[in-house]
Amino acid sequence: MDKTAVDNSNIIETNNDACQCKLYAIERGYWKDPYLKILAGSSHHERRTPEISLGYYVRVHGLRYLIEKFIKLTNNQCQIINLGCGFDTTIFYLLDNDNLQFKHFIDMDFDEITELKSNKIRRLSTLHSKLPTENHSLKIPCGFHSSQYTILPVDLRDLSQLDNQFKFLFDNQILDATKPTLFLCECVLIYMSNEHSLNLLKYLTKTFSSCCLFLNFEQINMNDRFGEIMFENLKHRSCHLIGMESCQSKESQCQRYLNANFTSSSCLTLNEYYKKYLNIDEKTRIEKIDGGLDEKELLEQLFEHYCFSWAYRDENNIGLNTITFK
Amino acid sequence: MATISDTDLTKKLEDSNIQTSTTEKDSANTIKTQANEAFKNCDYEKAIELYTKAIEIHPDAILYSNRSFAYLRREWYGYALIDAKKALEYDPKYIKAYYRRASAHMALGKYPSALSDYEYVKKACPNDKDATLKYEECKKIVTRIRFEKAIAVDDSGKSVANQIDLSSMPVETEYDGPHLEGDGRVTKTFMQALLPYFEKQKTLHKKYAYQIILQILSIFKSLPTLIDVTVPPKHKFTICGDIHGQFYDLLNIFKLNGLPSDENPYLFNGDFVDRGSFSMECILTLFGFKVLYPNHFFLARGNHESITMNQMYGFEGEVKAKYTVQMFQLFTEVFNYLPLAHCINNKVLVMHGGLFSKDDVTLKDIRAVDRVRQPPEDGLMSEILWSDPQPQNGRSESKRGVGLQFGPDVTERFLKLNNLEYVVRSHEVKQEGYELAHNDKCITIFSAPNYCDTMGNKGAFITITGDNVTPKFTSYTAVSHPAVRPMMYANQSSLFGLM
Repeated sequence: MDKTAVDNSNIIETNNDACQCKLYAIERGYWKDPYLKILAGSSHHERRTPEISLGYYVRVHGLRYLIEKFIKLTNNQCQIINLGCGFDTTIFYLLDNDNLQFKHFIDMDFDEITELKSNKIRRLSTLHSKLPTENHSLKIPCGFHSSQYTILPVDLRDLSQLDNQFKFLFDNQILDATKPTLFLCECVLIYMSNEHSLNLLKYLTKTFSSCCLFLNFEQINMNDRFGEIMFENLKHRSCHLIGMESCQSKESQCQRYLNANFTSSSCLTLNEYYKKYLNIDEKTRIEKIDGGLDEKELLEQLFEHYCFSWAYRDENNIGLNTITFK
Repeated sequence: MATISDTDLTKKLEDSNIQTSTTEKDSANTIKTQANEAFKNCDYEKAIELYTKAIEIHPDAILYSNRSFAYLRREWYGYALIDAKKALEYDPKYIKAYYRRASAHMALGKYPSALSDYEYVKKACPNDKDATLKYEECKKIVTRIRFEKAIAVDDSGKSVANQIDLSSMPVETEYDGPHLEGDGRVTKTFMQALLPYFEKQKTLHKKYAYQIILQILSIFKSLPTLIDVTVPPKHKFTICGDIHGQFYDLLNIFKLNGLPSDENPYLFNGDFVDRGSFSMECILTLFGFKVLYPNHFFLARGNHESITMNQMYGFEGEVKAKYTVQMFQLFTEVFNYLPLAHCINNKVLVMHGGLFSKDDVTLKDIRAVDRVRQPPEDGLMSEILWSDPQPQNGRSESKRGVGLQFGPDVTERFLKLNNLEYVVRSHEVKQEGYELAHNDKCITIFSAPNYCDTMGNKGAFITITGDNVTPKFTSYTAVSHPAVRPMMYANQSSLFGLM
């Protein structure tokens, strides 16, 4: 695969932002992740407001909850594909937990990212010692391959490229299109046009039609002043939220999945999650970390504009409808 | 989510309850053994869960101490400290609990407290090498901190104020802004010229800014923590709440209510800076008026007049962008001297946050608070800056994680004890800019409309007269401002959101 000719640096920059915010939160003690610093760290992390740290905490833990449920439901016989993964460390989190087994985990992102991630993993024993040994017989340019974990470069807007990558995975028995497959997608779709994201989703439901779950973390309720301001602010940093249309409401989030041939979809704002599903002791602990929540309203406002949305196809009725927050 | 061992445990518990000879202590012991196992396997979550179960059945020093240990391993130092203290309540001679408490104190940076615990352990176990080692280590840290504090106090040159060399800041002829008098005096003419100058987004000359701030520092240094304000009969007095760098809305307040003067006194109740991106203009304006009308213009500290908040919410960034790092350090010094509360005509108490975790707090206690410091995590000063009223009686833990929430009964008792009519505070955004709570005895006043450009709220101010302290409220909507977004100078704006 040729190295990318298009300049995706502003989208790629969002990975840096997310990492720096996460690293600050980890440093402050919101949660533990010894791997992110190795992959993405710098020596000094600039202060973030508590809302941001709490937001990332909720993002990480909400998704993990659903991932774990999926793994348990599929008796560890599942495949996980992390779309637009960035320097996400979910693979290490799963490998560190003996109760969470899976058949294969794929990280996918632009080649600039996958090259960096792959090289870091190769170079640093603190990372590759956690992984199964690299399989050098299957060379992936700007990527990495081992018995349980593969990193693949791809531009998710280019379906022929994506299709080639999946063919490679199917042909080499790394993936099986009939096995239960979980797609993770965090703040990715909004950076591409609605046409691109719809086509991507349709491709996934066509290819993994028997059993798949798509987990999305993204903006929502964006057609208000807050959304306007976020849109403008990001525009000034050359970051264009072109996929805003699907992020207008719960309905628009859910409908986009149904339009892409998922059979069922759900959506929950971070506020709902934070109020109903977050363990109260944890909540007390994390709210104390940064010396007090200056303005609860601002936290609620931020959390009203992000959501977990998920959709599935479950032709074998394994029970994907049970993958929800409790 | 029941695990396999949980079910076994439950069954064991059920079984043991059926046997008539089993005591509660035995049940707790069974669970404790399980918990200890989990601890050995580094499953601290499970260990904590099980210790908690055991404590529910038959609490004792050992269980609390063990759970404290598990909390330490999870780095939940606040909980570890609470458990260690609890353990010592059950058994004041339990050495391990002292150890746990010391560890928690160390982790929380409370070295003198840790030292006294290590000292106890060392005395009780003079042959324990580890105890001696920990004591010595801790002692070194405490000694070092004491030394650093000592040299800081002795060397008054450490104060940034003393390092500012005004003569190195000559005013260029090209500078087209207002000038202070030769001796740095602020005049009415100066302030009248300053406001429109700021409105045009121009920068006051560095020298004049420093001169104002240095004068403010002297003024604040001379003030008590609680200021008694006397408003003569028939004379007006205005109380404003949070401004948060919204300079154009501050100008609007002056438009609606008149510029400050000897006849038109004002009190601004904290949170002058942060979030809004015209904090510099706000603070210099407020300081300018204070210097000009020292006995008719009052400023109280808010929780945002602190380093942590300024670093996160934009003021530090704004000062660095518009002036210098040194000036921010000077602001930190100045904010430390801001008074914490004002008492008007012995009837109305005004402070930024709210009331207290204990019922016996008097105005004398407030006056006696050592305020010249960064806001602490607890105690009167912390509560003054952070507390919030709640609708129900009693007190609750603050949703903010600092300070507390206090009910109408707390307000009632406080007012009665101190012979006051009502309390005014700020700190919370309100849709109309103000809110009357606790049978109108606890009033919130918030003066930053459309907070952060997104909340859509009104701002408000209170006016009273010397002979009639019944508050009158004026609400107003936000006025437009130049296209500089809130938190422009903060490191990472929450308005960028999660990426």
